[in-house]
Amino acid sequence: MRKNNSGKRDRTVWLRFVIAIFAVLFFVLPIFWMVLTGFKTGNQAFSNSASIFFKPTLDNYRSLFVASHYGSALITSIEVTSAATILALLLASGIAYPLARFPFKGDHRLTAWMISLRAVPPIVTIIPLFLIMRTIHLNGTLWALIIAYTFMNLPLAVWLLKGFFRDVPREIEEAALVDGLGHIRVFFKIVLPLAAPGIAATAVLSLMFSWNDFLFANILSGANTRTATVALTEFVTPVGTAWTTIMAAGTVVVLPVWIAALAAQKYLVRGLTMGSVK
Amino acid sequence: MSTHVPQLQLAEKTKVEGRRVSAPRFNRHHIPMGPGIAILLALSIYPTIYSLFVAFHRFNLTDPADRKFVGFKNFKTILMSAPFWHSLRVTLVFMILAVAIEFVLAFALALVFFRPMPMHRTMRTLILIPMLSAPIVIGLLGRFIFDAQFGIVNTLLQNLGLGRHTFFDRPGAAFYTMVGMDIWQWTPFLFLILLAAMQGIPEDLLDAAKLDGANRFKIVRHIFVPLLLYPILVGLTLRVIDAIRVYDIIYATTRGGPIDATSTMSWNIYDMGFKNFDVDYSSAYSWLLLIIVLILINRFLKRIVAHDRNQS
Repeated sequence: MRKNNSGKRDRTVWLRFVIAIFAVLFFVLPIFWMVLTGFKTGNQAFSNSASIFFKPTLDNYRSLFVASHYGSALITSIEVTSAATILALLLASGIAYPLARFPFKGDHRLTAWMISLRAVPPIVTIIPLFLIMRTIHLNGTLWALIIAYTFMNLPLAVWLLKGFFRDVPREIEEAALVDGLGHIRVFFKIVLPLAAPGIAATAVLSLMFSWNDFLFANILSGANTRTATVALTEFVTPVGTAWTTIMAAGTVVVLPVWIAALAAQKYLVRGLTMGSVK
Repeated sequence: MSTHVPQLQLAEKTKVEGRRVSAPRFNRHHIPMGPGIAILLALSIYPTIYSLFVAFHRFNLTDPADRKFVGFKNFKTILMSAPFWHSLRVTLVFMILAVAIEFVLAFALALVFFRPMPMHRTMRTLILIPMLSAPIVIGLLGRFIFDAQFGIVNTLLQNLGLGRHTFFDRPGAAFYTMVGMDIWQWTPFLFLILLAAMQGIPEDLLDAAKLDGANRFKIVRHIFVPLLLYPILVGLTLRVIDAIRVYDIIYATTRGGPIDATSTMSWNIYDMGFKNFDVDYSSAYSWLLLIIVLILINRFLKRIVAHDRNQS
């Protein structure tokens, strides 16, 4: 019977392989074209032939980092993203661990409220947030973005961490409690290390959502606190668009996320699916 | 038998009750929740109240002196305006079209990847690239490759003898280009969810079905679909939420145009608030959008929460 089954599978494998190759080309070629264009001169990019073979130049990257302030925008992005991620993880752990371990009356209402926050369109949040930030003079500071991203990432982080904490075997924690460790030390010495991969995946997702954000950054950032995604759009001017530079800048924006996601791939699935798949 | 069953029930009942009785209300274990909840409350309740206040007043950023209470006037103006209903239609058609096509493509692709084949892992990883990339980058890239003069898509179409096209200058084309870009970026997301869920289906179940003589279609219909119901629910909910908020790719390409063909509700709100500075209208509009979103996904959210409750 098994033999029969695997024989059946083999017959479809090449057909499936060909479909898969086409799918990969469909999803990767546009991005490939972006990376390629980033290494072209203007003439090469706008000549009317789809050239794949050309003499690559680093001019775009040079103009990006030497002639413009893109480097400082990247640094802003790194600062804001990492601060917001650390804050979100700290606050979310505080909520998630008790939710996972010490149920209380009405805890599902708290969970429901937090999930529904994930559903609120950011454009709905941004207007009052913008007005409030303006009133307390935080507009255009790094803190405006850090606060916005922490808030944006908290519900998802709580939801994910709750699942990861719940997976830590209760018996290990109980044994440690019997041994006389307090709840706080049990959390830091036992739960945290055991849930580390899940926490890392949550961190990667939180980094990704903040790093990729454009709406909040576009509205809340000032002249000195533009993030990489906002700085990217400033190469589009009424006079002309520096397309090759934009493609280089775009490559710089997406590359770190790809690397981080690749590193955390195993746990990313669960993170992105809000734990619907384990 | 007869004594065994009640005992079992009793044991189960006390277990369930025990769980609830052991920590029925807040106690010192819940103290760490404080700071996080405080931030969430501060950044959701306060803006909510503020937004309501603005929506019921006259509130233009260029005229700080004029803050008259106007009651439901802002809501009425929006609900009576044609652009609102047009944007609602654009948003809903965009969402339904994009998510439906994404789901079909993702399901088919997940079936292709369900069984091993050469370079399986590498190809799966490569397919995830679009969804990891910042939407604003994808928007700008779309504008570049679909450009009427120098875009690679037009070059290829011309070489294939299909002629040159404008993708952003005609209302219909612009809308479908936007849908296409969303499909390109987010099909991988549903693919990832569905594939992971399919690979979690117990192998014995599939073997048993084959022994019973079920064909491929029947296996998909009677085993895959029911077992994948919850992942599908979560995946579609997340996609619906995110398709409604589409903004970045519109900002990078059409800015709501041509005329108002790609003017989604999110874009409309942005336009009112940050171009005309009519924050009062955009706040009232935001409330209408929020209500529509919550109506659309209320039942999905309820089921997700119920599922989560059963797990703990």
